[in-house]
Amino acid sequence: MTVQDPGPARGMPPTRSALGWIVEGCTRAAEALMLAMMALITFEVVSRGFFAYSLLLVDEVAGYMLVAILFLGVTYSFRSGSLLRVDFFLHWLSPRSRHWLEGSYLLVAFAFLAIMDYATIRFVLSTFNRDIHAPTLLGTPLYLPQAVMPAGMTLLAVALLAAAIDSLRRAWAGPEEDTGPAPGGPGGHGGAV
Amino acid sequence: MDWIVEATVILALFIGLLLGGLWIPFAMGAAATLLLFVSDGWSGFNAYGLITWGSTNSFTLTAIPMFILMAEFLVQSGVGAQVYSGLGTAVRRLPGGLLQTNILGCALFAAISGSSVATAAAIGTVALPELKERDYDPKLSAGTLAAGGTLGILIPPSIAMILYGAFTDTSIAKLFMAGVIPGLVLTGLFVAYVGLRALLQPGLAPRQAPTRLPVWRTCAQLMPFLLLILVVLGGIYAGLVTPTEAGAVGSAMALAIALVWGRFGWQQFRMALRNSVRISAGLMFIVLAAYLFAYALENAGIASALTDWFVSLQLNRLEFILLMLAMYLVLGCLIDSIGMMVLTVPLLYPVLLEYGIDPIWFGVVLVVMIELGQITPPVGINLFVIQSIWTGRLSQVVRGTIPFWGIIIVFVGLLTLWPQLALYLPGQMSAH
Repeated sequence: MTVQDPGPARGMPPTRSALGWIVEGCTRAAEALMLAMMALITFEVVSRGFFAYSLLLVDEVAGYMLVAILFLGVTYSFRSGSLLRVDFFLHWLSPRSRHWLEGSYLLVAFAFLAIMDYATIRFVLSTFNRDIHAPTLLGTPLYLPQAVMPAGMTLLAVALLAAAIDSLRRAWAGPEEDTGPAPGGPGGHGGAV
Repeated sequence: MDWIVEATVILALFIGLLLGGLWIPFAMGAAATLLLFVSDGWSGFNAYGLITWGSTNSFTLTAIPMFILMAEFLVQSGVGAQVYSGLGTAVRRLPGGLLQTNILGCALFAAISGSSVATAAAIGTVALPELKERDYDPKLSAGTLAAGGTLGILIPPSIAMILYGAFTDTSIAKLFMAGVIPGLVLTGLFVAYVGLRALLQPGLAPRQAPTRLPVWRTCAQLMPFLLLILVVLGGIYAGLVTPTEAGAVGSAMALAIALVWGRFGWQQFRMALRNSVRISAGLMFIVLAAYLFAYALENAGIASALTDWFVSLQLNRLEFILLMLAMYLVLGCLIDSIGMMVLTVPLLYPVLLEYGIDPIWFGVVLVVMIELGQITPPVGINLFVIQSIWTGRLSQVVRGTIPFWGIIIVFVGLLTLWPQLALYLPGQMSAH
């Protein structure tokens, strides 16, 4: 059985727009990090178990990798309809009402992201200005792994805004073929466990 | 503002946005942001940066992408067919035939995957064409797969348990072990029900012609999976590896199994990685929003006020547990499994401690209630997973799961009467 890549959700801009290329690049980086994380932790377990040798950095680096996977991958997750939502109410609406509601929701999400983005930029700048390093063997300057947070949030905010404009434009344009809620609409259970 | 008014407004807003169709993390984030603004003004957002970093930079939560990757390697390589075929031969004498293989296949796959969706999809895709060809009852076929799939989050490893452990600071290793016996008992109850139905109504499950596959071949088919289970769960139980490490080693082993025994090329490899990023990032974003939500509730004093209020009701332990179970039954009809967890755990956890309820036992009960939600319409995710891979109607899937719904309710009763079903193995770990 193979689970297909759902690709961009209905109503979303084409994947190969400038935004699409950036999202694709970030997703590939997240995939590489996922693989590197598996290799690093496995190496640590094997070297510790068989050679009594520990790298003493795996906990720290794996944590940074997780942050990067989240923020590099979340825009793809959103665009492919994998962010969880309860969508049965949306199915009762006419396509036009649904687009209005979707557009409004996307603007609410954008507003939340804008606040988050602002807060994380301030946080990273504060870490940078105070020259805070991790209290570990590596002594990583923390602004480096933290910088991916505002970068990923900015990308998601742009994607939300693009989707909101698209949805509101469709709502404004009037009746059209029923395409179902987008993104993360019916069958959008890719993020469920 | 009085905390009751504040809590009511915020929860009403959150649930309204959630049921109205806003994505779960944005609904939580919007509610948290509004609550913080009402409580502290703009300065309330100062903590967002630190919470975002603190909640996501976590070695414990690294287990989530690792177990997702492990399941994806196995699902994409199509080795579910091998599990199904091996078990089909092993259990062919049981009444119910392939229906028993559905349940046991799901249980076995659950032990190498942390997800109900992955379990139902992996076994369902292989099983449904076989069941149709052999003229098995469609409702019962779909029911065994949808319900069997829910075992994915009870039998460890379990992504739901990792999330619960991270939210409540409960040992994930102990939670995993706490899921083993309940998972086996629930599997046994499902098997017993299917067997009984097949004996009473033989037309539901036609007898299979006995196949004469040698025992060694059946063992060879199942061996890689049993080895994977042994390494992952055995390693955690023996304290040799943490759950996160077990996830990484399990992923590496799953990759090897996929390469050797599956149909696993470059395309499947890329797809496994992409799906893992897609699912992990989506889940982690919900985790982040849940931490923001929990912080906002705590900051406004709602969580502690709610605890005091629950304590002032002076319910006895059983009454409180029944109240919670009733609440989860209702929530299961409205909200997706992970949404159910992230909404309730930050609020209920302090109350549980006040009532002296074991957090490990509660973690298992919560996961079982989530399982129930996964087969409860209209949002039960496993119903849609099975519906998406077969040719019948959704109503048939729903009707097929009703008996299993009843079995899970009975099972929650058993867990409440005998908490040791969940607590025995974690207790043995402490004793080491």
